[in-house]
Amino acid sequence: MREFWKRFAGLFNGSRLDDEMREEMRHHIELQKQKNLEAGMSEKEAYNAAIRQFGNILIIQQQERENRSFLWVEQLYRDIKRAGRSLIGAKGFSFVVIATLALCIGVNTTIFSALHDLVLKPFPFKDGDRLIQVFNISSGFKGKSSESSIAQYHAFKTNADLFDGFALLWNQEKTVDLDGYTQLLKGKRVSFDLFDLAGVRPVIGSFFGEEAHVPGSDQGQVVILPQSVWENEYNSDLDVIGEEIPFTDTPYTIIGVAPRSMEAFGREIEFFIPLRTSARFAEARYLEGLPIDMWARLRPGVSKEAGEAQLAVLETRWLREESSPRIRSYLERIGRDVQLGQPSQLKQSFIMLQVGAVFVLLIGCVNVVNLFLSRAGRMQYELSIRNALGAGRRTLSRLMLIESFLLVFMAVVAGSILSLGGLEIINHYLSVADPSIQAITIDMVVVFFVLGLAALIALIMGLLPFGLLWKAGLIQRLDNGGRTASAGGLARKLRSSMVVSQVMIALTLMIGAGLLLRSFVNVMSVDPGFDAEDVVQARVTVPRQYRNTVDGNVFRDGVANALREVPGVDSIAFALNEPVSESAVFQKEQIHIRRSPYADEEPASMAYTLVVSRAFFDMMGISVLAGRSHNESDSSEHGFSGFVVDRSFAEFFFPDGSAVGEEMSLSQRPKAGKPWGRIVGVVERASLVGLESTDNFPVLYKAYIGAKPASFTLLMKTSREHDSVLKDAQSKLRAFDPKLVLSRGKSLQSVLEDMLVNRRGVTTLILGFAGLALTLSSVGLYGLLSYDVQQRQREIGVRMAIGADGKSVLNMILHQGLWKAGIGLGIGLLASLYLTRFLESQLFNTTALDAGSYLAAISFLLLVAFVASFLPARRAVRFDPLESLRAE
Amino acid sequence: MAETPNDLLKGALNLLVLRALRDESRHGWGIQQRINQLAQDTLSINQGSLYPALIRLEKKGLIKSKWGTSEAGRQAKYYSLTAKGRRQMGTETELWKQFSTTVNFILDKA
Amino acid sequence: MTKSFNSDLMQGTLDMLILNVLHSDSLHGWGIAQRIHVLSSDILKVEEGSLYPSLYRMERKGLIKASWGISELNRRAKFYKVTKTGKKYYESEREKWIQLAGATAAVLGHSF
Repeated sequence: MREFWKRFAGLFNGSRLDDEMREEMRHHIELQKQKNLEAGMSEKEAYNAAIRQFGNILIIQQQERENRSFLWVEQLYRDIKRAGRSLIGAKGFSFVVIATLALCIGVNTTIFSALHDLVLKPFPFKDGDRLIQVFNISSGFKGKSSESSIAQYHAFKTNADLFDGFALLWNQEKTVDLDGYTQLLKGKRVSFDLFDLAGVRPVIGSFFGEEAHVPGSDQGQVVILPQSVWENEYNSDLDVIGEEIPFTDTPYTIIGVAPRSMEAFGREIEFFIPLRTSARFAEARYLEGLPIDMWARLRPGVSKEAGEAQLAVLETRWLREESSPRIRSYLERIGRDVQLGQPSQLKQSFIMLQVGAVFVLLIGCVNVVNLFLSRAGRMQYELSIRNALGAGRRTLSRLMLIESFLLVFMAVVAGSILSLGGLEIINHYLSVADPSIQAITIDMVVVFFVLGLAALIALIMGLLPFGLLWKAGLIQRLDNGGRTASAGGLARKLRSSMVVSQVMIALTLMIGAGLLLRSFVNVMSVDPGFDAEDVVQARVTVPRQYRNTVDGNVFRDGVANALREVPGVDSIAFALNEPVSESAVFQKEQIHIRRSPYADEEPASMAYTLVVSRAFFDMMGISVLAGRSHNESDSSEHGFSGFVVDRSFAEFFFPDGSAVGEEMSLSQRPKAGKPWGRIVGVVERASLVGLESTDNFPVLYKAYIGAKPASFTLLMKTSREHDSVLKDAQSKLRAFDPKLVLSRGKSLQSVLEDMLVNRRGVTTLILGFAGLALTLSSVGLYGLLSYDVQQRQREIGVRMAIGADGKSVLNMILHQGLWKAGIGLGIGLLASLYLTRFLESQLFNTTALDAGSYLAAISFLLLVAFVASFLPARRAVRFDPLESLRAE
Repeated sequence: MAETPNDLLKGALNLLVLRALRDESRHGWGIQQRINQLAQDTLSINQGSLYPALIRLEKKGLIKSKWGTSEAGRQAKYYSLTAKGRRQMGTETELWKQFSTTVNFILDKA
Repeated sequence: MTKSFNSDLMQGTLDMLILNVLHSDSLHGWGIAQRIHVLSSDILKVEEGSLYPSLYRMERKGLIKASWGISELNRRAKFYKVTKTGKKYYESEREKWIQLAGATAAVLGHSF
C-alpha cells in the first residue's frame, strides 16, 4: 500500500524526483572525475572517463521513471486480459459462478431497495427522521390502527412539549362534474399545520392557515394542488391561483401549489383541502371510524421512546380528566396505547425477506468459494509455475483477485438487470397491497450497498481459496509435479464446515417458508361466510340532479332496470361503501343498546356498519338466522329504524337470548321523546374485512333505502365473464343517462385476493428463497462429495482391489454425506427454534413451533441430501479399481 | 532445504547445469536430480527457473539438445555439453570461485 | 577480469553487498561503489548502470532510506542508510547466499 502511494505521488512530483536524480548522478560523476584527476589525468580526460564509465544517464533515468510511475496500469490491463482468457477457458465454472452470484446479488439488491425505501429511508423533508406517524394500538383490535382522533390531536398539540407539532391527514374522495361527466378525484383533508410540520414552502401561492378549519368560514373552501397535478393538468399555469375547482357539492378555490415532496404522504393525491378540526367536531367523532393519520415532528434530540412515553402520559391524563365516561370506558375496554413509528406496515415483511435474501446470499457465496477452491486446486500447477518464475504471494493473489473481481463485476451487471425486473414485480405487488406507498426506485445508497457487497464477495472469493493453498504450502514447491494434491486438510475442513452451514441455513429458510406456506393455506381455507364467486362490483357516481331522496330512488330504480337488461346478470344489489375492504377503512359506529348490561355506565361499543340493499344477503349467500332481512319500513328520511345484525353481534350483546326485537341506536342515545331503532333480523357471520382478519368485531347492516349519496357501490351476480359484463353494464347505463360512469369495476373474488397480496408476495418470495437455498446447498453437498470421491479415487481403488465390495464403499460415502447433512440439520433445527419466533406476527392459525412444518422441512432436506450424496457414491463404486490406481 | 532466491541463483544456475551435464547427457528432470544429488540435497532447483536457464544456455551454444526416449519409455529432450560449453564451464568455475570467495570475504567483514 | 563477471550473478548479490557496506555508515552512491570496490581488493566492480536502479528499488521497498547531506565536494548529495527492514532482509539474504555458495561449492567440488 505504501508502495502504491509512493508511485501515485510519483505521478505528480515526477519532475522533482527527476531533478534530484540528475543531481545525484552529476555528483557521482564529479567524484569520479576527482579521483581520475588524482590518478594524474588531465581535466578533460578525467571528465570524459568518468562519463564513459558511468554509462548513459538517460537510460538509467528512464528505467527509474518507469519503475516508479504508473506502469501498473498497463500491467493491470494485461492481468485483466489474462484473467479474461483464463475464465473463458473455464466456461462452465465462470457461468455457474456468475449465475449464482447474479441471482444472489439481484435478490439482495431488490429486497434491500424495498427495505431501504420503505423502512430505512427518512422522509424526503428537512430533518425527515424526526417526522413520524402516531399510531393508536388497541389490544382489542389486533394490529396498528391509524385511527387517531381530533380530540387527541388537540390534547397532544397543547401539551406535548417534546414535539414541534402535530398534523392530521384524512383520505377524501370528491367528485367533479367536468365536460358533462362526473369524475372521481382522490385527495387528502389535512390540518393546516401539516405543511409547517413537513417544512415545505408553496411552489406558488400560499397554504391555508388555522382559520380554514373554522366551520362555516368561507376560508374552508380552499384547495392546494400537488405539484404534479399542477404541472400535468394545468400546464404549470401561474394564473391558476384563484381559479375554482368545481367539486360537485361546492366549488373550491385554488390558493397554492404544494411541492412534490408532499406526495410522499400517499400516492395519487390530487388535492389537499382543510380538515375540520373544531372542538365541537372532536368529541362527537372521537370514536367513529375515521381513518385519520396523525403525524408529528419530534424536537431535535428527543428519542422516539421519550416522545412515546410523553404521549402515553397525556393520553391517560386526558382520559382521566377530560373525556366523557362513555369514551373512557370504551377506551379502557379495548386497551388503547399510543405508539410512534414508520409509515410502512410492510416493514416487518421486508426485514424478514431481507434476512431470507442474506441467507440465500450466504449459501450462494459458500458455493462459489467452493467452486473457487476446486478451481484453485486445478490451477495449483499453473500457480506453482508462476511462483517458480518469480511471482510472489502478492503477485499471485493479485492474479486471483483480478479473476474474482472480473467474475463479480459481470455478476453485478447481470444481478442489477435482475433486480430491476424484481423491483418491477415488487412495485406491482405494492400498488395492490398498499396504494399509499410510492413506487420503489433505486437510489445511491442502494448502489453503494451493491458495490460494497460485490467488493466484499470478490475479496473473499479471490483470497480465501488462494490463501488456503498458499498456507498449505501447495504452491511453493513443485515436488508433486503435475499430480493433483488435495487442497490440504485445512481446505477440506473448511469445505466440510461450509457444507454443514449451508444445510443449516437452508433448513432454517425451509422451516420459515413451511410455516408461512402453512399459514397461507390456512388463510385460503378460511370460510369467508359469503360467496364471492360470480359477484362483480363497481362504483357509481350519482349525477348532481339526482341527489335528493325522491330523485335518488328514481335514479336507483332506473339504474337497476337498465342493468336487468344486461344479459347474464342474475341479481343486482347496492351498498353505500364497498362491502369488502380492509378493516382500517371499514366504517365503524358506536352502538347503544337500550337494555344493555352496561347501561348505567353509558358505555359505547363499536361495530362495523354497512349500508346494503335487501338483495345483498341473498346475492352473497349470507343466510338469515332469525327474523328477516330489510324491508321498506326499516329506513326513511328521518333515519334508520330497523337493523339487521350478524351472529357475532347477537352473541356479543345478547348472549342469553334472541337479539330480534331488541331496541338500539347508532352514534348516540336518542334524545328524549325520539324513538329507538329495533333489530329486525340476525344473519350469519361474514368476514367482510378479509380472510386474514382475526378480529371479531360485530357487523351491523343498515337498510339502503332513502339514502342520497354522491356515489355508491353496485353489485351484480353473474355467471358471465366479469370484464364483458362490466362493459355491457356501462353501455346500458350510458343509455339510461349519458353522464354515468362506472369506476373501479372488479370481481369480489379479486378484491378478497388483493387483500392477501402482501401475504402471497411474502410467502412466494420466501418459498423461492428456500427453493434457491435448497438447490444451492444440495449442489454444494454434491460438489464436495464428488470432489472428495475424485480425490480418494486411489484409496477407493485400493479398498476395492483388496476385496471391499461396492456396498461398503457406497455406504462409506453415503455415511459421510449424510453425517455432514445431519450436523447441519441439527444446528439448523436449533437456529430455527430460535429464529422462527420472529415470524410469529406473520403466521396465521399456526404456531412458530408447528411440528408439521419442521418435520416436512427436515425430511425433505434429508431426502435431497441423500440424493446429493448417493450420486457421487455410486460413481465411486463404478470405478475400475485398476483404472483408479493408474490415474495417480 | 532453504528456498533459493532467483536473483542469487540465476548466476550460479548456468554453472550448475553445465556441471550436471559434464559426464553424460540428461533430460531436464535428470539435470535437476543430478544437481540435487551433487549438492547432497542442500539445494532445491525448481523447474520454473531450470527450463529458462536451459533455453538461455542453448541459445548461447553452450549446450545442445536432442529428442530421445526416457527410461519410462516416453519422449524426452536430452541435453548435452558442446565443446564451447565445456570450455566455458572451466572459466566460469574459476570465476565463480573467485567471486564467491570475495563476496564471502566482504560479508564476513561486517 | 572484473568486467567478465556475469551480470546476472552480480545483480543477485548486489543488493546484499550494498546493504552490507551501508551497515555501519551512511554513504552516497559513489561512496558505495568505491567501498565495494576497495573491500573486494578491486575484484568486484559495481557498475553505475546497476547501482542506481538497485538503490532506487531498495528505497521503494523500504530497505534503505535516503537523506540529503553535504559531500566531501561540499555539495548537496543523497546519503543512504539501512532501515530496520533492510537489516532483516540483509540477514535472510546472507543466509541464502551462504547456503547457495556452499551448495554450489559442493557441486563444483566434484570437478576439482
